[in-house]
Amino acid sequence: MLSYIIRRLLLAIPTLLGVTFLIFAVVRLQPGDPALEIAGQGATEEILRAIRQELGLDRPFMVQYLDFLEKLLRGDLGKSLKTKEPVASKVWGRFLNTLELTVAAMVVAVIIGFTAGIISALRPYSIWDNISMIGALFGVSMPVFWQGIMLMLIFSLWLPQWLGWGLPATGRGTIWHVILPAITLGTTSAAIIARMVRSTMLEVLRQEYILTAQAKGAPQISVIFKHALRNALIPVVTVVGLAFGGLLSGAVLTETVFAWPGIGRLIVEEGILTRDYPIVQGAILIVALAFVVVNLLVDLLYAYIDPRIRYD
Amino acid sequence: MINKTLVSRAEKSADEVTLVRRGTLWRRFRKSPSAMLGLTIVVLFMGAGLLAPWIAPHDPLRPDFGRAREGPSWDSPLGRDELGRDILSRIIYGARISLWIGFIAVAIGVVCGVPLGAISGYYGGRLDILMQRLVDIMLAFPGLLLAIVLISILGVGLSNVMVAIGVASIPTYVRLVRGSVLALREMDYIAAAKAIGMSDSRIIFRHILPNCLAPIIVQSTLQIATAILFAAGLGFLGLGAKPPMPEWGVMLSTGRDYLRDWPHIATFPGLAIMLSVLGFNLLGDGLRDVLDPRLRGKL
Repeated sequence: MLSYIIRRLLLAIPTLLGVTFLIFAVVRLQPGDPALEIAGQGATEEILRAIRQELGLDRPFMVQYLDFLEKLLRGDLGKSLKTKEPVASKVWGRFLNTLELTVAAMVVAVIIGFTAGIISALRPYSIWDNISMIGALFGVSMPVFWQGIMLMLIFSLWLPQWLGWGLPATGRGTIWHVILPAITLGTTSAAIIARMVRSTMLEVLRQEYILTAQAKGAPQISVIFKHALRNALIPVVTVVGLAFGGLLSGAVLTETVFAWPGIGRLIVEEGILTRDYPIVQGAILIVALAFVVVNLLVDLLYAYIDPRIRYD
Repeated sequence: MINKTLVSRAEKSADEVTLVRRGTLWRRFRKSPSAMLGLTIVVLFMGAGLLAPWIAPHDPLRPDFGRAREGPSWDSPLGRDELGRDILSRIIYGARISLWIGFIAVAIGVVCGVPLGAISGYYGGRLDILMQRLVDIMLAFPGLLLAIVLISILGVGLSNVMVAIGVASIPTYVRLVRGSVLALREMDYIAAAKAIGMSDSRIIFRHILPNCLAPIIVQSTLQIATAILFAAGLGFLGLGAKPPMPEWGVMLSTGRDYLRDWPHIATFPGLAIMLSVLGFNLLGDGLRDVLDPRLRGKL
């Protein structure tokens, strides 16, 4: 297992380097002169030259990239063009907020997805199966931002009017604040997980070892969870890993709907729309790195669940 | 000479088999109610988009401040928006924009991703390793985020949205086609084609790619759904289409400000997005079951 972990970690290094290079290149490809952005229109050529020298923009591209990498390893992501704050601390704080939302959404997705998928697989073509699969189909087709708005309308605007009690619509703070964003963000992943659990469970339940387990008198609950679900987990783990990427994508939209102070809003509102490129660079970098790390963990988890993979 | 005759005879009989198979596929497709529902929804939205100038009851851009935020009525079945524009007409015109984005984005993904995937899988070796590492890097950016990264270079706007979503889908096609090609290149008929001296490009385009069509068609149908969702999402974030364009994401974004008292402004554009995406998802699932049942659960 240890040699598998080391091999997998070594394989992740070129991807991580590629990601840093791509993000660095993207920021350098931006139209316009960063020195002009900082100094403002009307700055003299001398001032612009001084800024370029200070930022190292007058050096060769690859030298700039190596410098960027070195700073990155020290946790230095530069300063915001607008607020002059260090990007690293700003991005990290926002990333933790997004992580909180993403983990909450993942919990929602796994609970709903597994429950619906297992029920569907145990009673295929029953009314429950139909309800959960139609629900899953709507789940993958519903735009995250529209679902968020509709949940907000029902639970934060209508319910308080009818019952005098509702859920907070915007912001972050208490456990109540995370409920609507987590459900909104987790629905698509729940739907994907439910479909996957159903199809893999159905396949596993047809295997002879399930029949053997039933024939030897194993309790139904043990057949389902110990024999069937464990074997159905491998493709499901892939989907859960991929769902994390979907959640990070969806977080951008969910955060905008619920005014959640996460990294997605930072990228769009304080990065792209205000052309603050160090913010865009730092925030996207941290999200991509998080996704690479999650994929790595998923691969290691496979090897743990299925020993055939690590011996391959 | 003998080789050429052999090749053309083999290709002719393969075409005849394809025609017979097509008839069977349609019969199987027709038997699936969900696939037919998907096709119906897609045809309805495509029809609405194509015939928008003739079937939209009102001008989608003309404001009528006297009727601002009016609820559904006989004259405006889905009501009026914050500037008094007819929501149904805007949704009909919006279908044109969303489907156009979907098709162009998928075309970019297919045109770039399919040949790259085929070359990577067919030739293998260092080229394959290099291309797969590049794909790994692109896939390290979760879906919408890759499109956002590209928009940050290209700039905000509708045509850039199409390019960004299309480019973001390239790695998916490269992976998909490479996987199929890896399996196909070991087949006996490819060895036979090589033995009779057929060129690599002819083998790829005539014998390998047609056999990868099933997963490409299925993926493209599902990818249109994703492109519609992404485009609406980018419009919602202010990175795509701009007001007053009747784009569904933009309509939803402006409707959000009137949610408390006039929820219909945000509700109907969202329903339009959901229905169109549902249609393409159902169609994609139906096509997958008919064209390649082995893909069930994988795409």
